[in-house]
Amino acid sequence: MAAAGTPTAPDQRRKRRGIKLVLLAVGMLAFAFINVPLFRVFCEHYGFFVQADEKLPASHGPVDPARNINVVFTGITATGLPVTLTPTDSLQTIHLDQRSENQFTFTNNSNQTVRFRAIHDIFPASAATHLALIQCFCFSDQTMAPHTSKTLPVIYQMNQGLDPLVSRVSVMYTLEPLAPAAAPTAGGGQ
Amino acid sequence: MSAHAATLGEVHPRQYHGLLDWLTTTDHKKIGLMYIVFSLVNGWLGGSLAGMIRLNLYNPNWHIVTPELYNQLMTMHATIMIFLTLMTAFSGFGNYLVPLMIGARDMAFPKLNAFAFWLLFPAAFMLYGSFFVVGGAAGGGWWSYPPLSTAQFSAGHGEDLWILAVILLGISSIMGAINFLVTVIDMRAPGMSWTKVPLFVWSWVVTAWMLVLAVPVLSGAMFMLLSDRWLSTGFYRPALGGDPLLYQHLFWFFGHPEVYIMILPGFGMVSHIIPAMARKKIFGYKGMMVALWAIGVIGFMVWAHHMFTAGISAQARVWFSMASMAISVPTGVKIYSWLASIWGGVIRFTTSMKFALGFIFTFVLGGLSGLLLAVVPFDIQVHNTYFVVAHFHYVLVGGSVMTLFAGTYYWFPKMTGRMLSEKLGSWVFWLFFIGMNWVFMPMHILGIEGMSRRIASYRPEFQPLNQFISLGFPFMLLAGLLFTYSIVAALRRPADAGNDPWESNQIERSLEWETSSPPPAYNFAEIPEVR
Repeated sequence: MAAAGTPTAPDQRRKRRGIKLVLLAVGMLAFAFINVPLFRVFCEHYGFFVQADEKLPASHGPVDPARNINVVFTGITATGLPVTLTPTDSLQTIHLDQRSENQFTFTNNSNQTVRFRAIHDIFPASAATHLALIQCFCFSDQTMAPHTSKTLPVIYQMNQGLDPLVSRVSVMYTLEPLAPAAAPTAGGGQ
Repeated sequence: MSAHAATLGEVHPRQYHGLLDWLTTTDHKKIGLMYIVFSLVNGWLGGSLAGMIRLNLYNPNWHIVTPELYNQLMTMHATIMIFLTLMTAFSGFGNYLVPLMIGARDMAFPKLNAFAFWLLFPAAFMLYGSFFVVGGAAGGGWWSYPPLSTAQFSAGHGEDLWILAVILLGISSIMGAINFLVTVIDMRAPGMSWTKVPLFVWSWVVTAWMLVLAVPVLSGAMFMLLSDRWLSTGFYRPALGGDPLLYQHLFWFFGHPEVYIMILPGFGMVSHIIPAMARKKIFGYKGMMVALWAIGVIGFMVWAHHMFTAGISAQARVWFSMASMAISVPTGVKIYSWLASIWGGVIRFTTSMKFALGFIFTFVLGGLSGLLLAVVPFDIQVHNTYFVVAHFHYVLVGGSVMTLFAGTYYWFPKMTGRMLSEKLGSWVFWLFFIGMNWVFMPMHILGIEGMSRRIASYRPEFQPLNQFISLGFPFMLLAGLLFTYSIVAALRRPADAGNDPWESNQIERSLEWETSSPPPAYNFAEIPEVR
């Protein structure tokens, strides 16, 4: 029998096992942090988990004139919003890594000031991970006085890596009305 | 004999009395009981928040609480029920029973055990206290996704307190889990090989491994969220190169194993109760053991089925869908083993058996709706609707809570030396079983019809079913009141339960029934030998 206060062999064994398990838990904590760079590498390598296109940077490779991509632009308006949206070019033919620009004309046909937000939708979805929007009216909410028009640009670029089978990409904007006096919405919630 | 006496003296050398004894105890049984009482109190508090939610939803135009407060009630109901009620209840049963079942005198690290328990109080204080800070409690759901949980959209300190509380609760869980693992690995009675370990102990071994592997990842996710809020880092902020999807992956890497953490010990409990009450040995012990491990391992491979609508790729959806379906195989093994154990038995319909049978019924329904949710198109259709609410309440109320009722009725005599009233127990079971199905079954329909969860009001056509659901809540409330009353009433009676009131050891030997009820501080006068 060990004297009181002296660790016995089983005590030591338990302590060692406990320490190993604590180290395992610390390792799992580190694993959470390692996932920050791992997640990025994993996404880039496998193209799993689609990234938001707003943050997609434009690549700077040489323009590939051999491959033509037809980009179709359309705009629709949600019910009740008296604004029309017309692209200057409804179809643009571009090359990969070529910076391109299109113009959209907005017209408020009503007697009231309107606020709205343009929400874009890209088809096919796999193209969304390669379409870099450099400047877009969809980045901020818009306000228009009664019976006014304005023309706003969209500057974009199709990056390298687009699926070789894709030759046509559709970019559609939907205008959603916002309450006139409301502050910008804070996301989430009710 | 003198050597033996010295061993007993080492178990709990300090002796206090009354409240001081409970505050300073390192006895696993007292800590286990305190966990259970803590869980019961929090079950009442978390349940009362559910009552307020149901009252508010009785009529879409009542607006008894503001939408902001409704979100807070919903968030705190889930947080309290998951972290302070279910997890602590199973920790309580584990603390009390695991050393007894393996023939040990205490946990491997008794002081660490006490520390893990007392850590619950600052965490609970932060959670409840957050209702009273400016901006109120956290309202972003128990998952607390960014960007809603970032400083920009949840500016109040309620969210900070929630994150800190979750970190503290995580530390408590990890310490408890390490203690369980070392206890079972190193302190089993002589002769108790791994194939003789009781199934409740096995369930806790798997649960403890899951806790050690999953909870630190949650803590890491919380540290990063706190850092984004306080230090303006960009782990989850796209503007700074971060990604909110990463949070979802980290959260659910913990969150889905957490579901099994909250149900596996219940599986273990039922695996003791059914053989004892059906007077038959458990069917397929080794199969049950392997199934526990399979659930534990596959449970780590399914997390992104919570993210089918979050923008993950088609390949990822297919993988996580298949893995989620695969988990039904070991779960099915357990269900069939329990049914086979009942088959041909001489069944005693005690309250614990009624709850065990009720658990099988409701848990199977929860599992079936889980299978539906593993199907991607269906999941997308009912995502964020009451179908999901129905599913996880069938698993956690119909599964976890029912097993806890069953376990309480079965082991209460061991813990206190007193029997709970079977007559009242029958009322508790039927009120709870009817109330639970009354409340949660119609939610499947509401979900398929498109009623969104997490919203304080709803479209008028959903009102009749919502009123019906709210009327079922008092049944569960009454069951809870009767259950609490029967505990208080039993504690006022003399202790006369005997060592093995259910004659469990005549069917299958489990060491807790070989000592007195309640057991002495040292558990066993002589460490039993298992052959």
